Amino acid sequence: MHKPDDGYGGAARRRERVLFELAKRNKADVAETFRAITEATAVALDVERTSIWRLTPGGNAIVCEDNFVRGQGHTAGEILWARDYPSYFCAIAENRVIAAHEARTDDRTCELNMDYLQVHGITSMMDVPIWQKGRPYGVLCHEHVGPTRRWTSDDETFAANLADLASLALEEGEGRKAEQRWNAVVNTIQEAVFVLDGEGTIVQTNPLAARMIEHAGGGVTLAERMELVEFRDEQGRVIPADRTGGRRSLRGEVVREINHLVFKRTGERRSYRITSAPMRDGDHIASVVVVLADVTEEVAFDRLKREVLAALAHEFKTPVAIVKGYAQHMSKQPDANPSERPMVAAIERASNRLQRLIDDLVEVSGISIGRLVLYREPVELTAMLCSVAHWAAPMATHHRLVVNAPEELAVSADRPRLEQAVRRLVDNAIRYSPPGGEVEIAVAPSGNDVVISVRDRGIGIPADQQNRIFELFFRAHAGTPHDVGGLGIGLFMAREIAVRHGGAMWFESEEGKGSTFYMRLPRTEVL
Amino acid sequence: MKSAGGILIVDDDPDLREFLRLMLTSMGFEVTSAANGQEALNDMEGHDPDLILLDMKMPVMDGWEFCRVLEGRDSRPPIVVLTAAPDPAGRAAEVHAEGWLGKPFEYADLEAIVRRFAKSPAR
Repeated sequence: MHKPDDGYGGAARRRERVLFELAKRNKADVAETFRAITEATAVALDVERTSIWRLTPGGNAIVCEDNFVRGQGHTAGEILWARDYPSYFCAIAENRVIAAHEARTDDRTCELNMDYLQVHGITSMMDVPIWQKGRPYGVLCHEHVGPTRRWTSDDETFAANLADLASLALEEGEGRKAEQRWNAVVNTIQEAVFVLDGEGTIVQTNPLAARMIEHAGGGVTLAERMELVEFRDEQGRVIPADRTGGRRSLRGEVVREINHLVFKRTGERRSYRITSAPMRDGDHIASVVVVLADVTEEVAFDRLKREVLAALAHEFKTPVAIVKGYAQHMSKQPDANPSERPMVAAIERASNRLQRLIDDLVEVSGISIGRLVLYREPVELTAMLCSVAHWAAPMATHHRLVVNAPEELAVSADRPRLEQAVRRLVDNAIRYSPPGGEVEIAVAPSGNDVVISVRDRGIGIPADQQNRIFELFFRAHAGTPHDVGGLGIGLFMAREIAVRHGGAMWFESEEGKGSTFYMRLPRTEVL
Repeated sequence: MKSAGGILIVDDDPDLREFLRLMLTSMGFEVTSAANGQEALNDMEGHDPDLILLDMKMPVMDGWEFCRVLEGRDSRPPIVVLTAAPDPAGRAAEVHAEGWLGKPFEYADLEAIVRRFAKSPAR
């Protein structure tokens, strides 16, 4: 006979007390909470053995996560297979309380008799399902030893409450695991992570960021920081406190840029790729996360690369000047040998190709493609297009250059860059047109924009090459009789410049009929 | 008594000097040449050219130093900077030169710029 309670009220109060104690504890450590639950339930329900079993993902076994035996303590790891106890597993799969007062004869549990119940002296058992995020996780199992026991509805309710606590522990454990994973990421990444409050004060850091602050000599508040570290932009200009990435993000901006930091204490100068973004709390920006990646080596290498390319281009220019100069001179001699004229013309063409290659080298070396800085001013387009036509005239001796700009239109643009982009288009139009062809440079308004177009009656772009035409180093006519040399950066640069101005570039082309390239730019008022 | 007129070519590349000499004489100009700034200053002690065609990167005395020396004088001939720099106009502005010619240059551009500054006695 089961030991009577010390009065109905006393048992109920004890159980409430147990639930309360378990509920208020931190359940983030799942294994620890499971142990607390099995222990508490064994005492409160007065059973010999309590255990928590996890159902494997395929449902073909249950694994003991914790088994508490009074007077013996905790064990774990035992496995029961579905193939050995099909009826028991069917009952578990129904996800209802299994209250087997006479476990050895109960249909649901009698399979366990020889291997399990008798081994442990179990006579009555009660299994309560444990849920995890709406899916069955396993069971909380109560096993009574001694004379059989009738489980009351209070027993079932109490056990169900404990199973709910186990579910809660699983959820909190999951949260903690995710947090631990996240912390591991933040603590090991090779970027310094800072969280700033609304005043620009650093309120949280990862270890790398903490080391940076230490290296700088402190500097948690914005004012302290500006004392210890000088922030410079990509061009080396000092960034005032109000324009640092963190401050700009507090005003809602997402900032991605390269900054050079000068640590005043040591004089050390390093380059960082700074990403900073606002963290919103509803409509309000409460804090900012700033991530700094040390790119000192990359920046130095990039500079070296550009210097080497520039020096190389520079050294090529004088010999090309001599070759080209003599060729031009010889072609103008009235008494030149007619049989040598084609050779001289070929030397001149070859030197022009070399010159184009050098110009391309200078351009890729002079411009860091990813961060083209624009110096905008109002640019009147009729004058600019005429200037481009004037520039192109010496190359277009066998072509007809037409400028079609019926009205004055202006854009806010980096004048040399924009002119360079249009030059690229006109240069292509001339190079890929047969002699006698017309090249039309035009500009027209289009809503709030202007569209500059360059049309030729040339060889066109083969249909299968058209989708690659704006790729860097792609040359549609490479290795064909139309190959006129170059590195294949012209259209890439032209479109890049259009895009950086808030515009776009596209084209229409038909092989054998010609191409038209369009550049759309936001329009401004003519001054 | 100093002689006057003509074009002084200052460039350390002998082939380019020779090429320019040939081109400019064929245009009818008197031409003298120097391999660096110091040689050019020596040349100018006995001769006042109408125009100096000046390379910038040279050994012994480069274009910048040469221009600094001339800046200190009461007057100097006009200077056209001959440069392979990506921004020839910027180079010219650095030394307050009157004009520039980027390398490699067109025959026509060479002729146009020297005719702006120098008289050719042959024509």
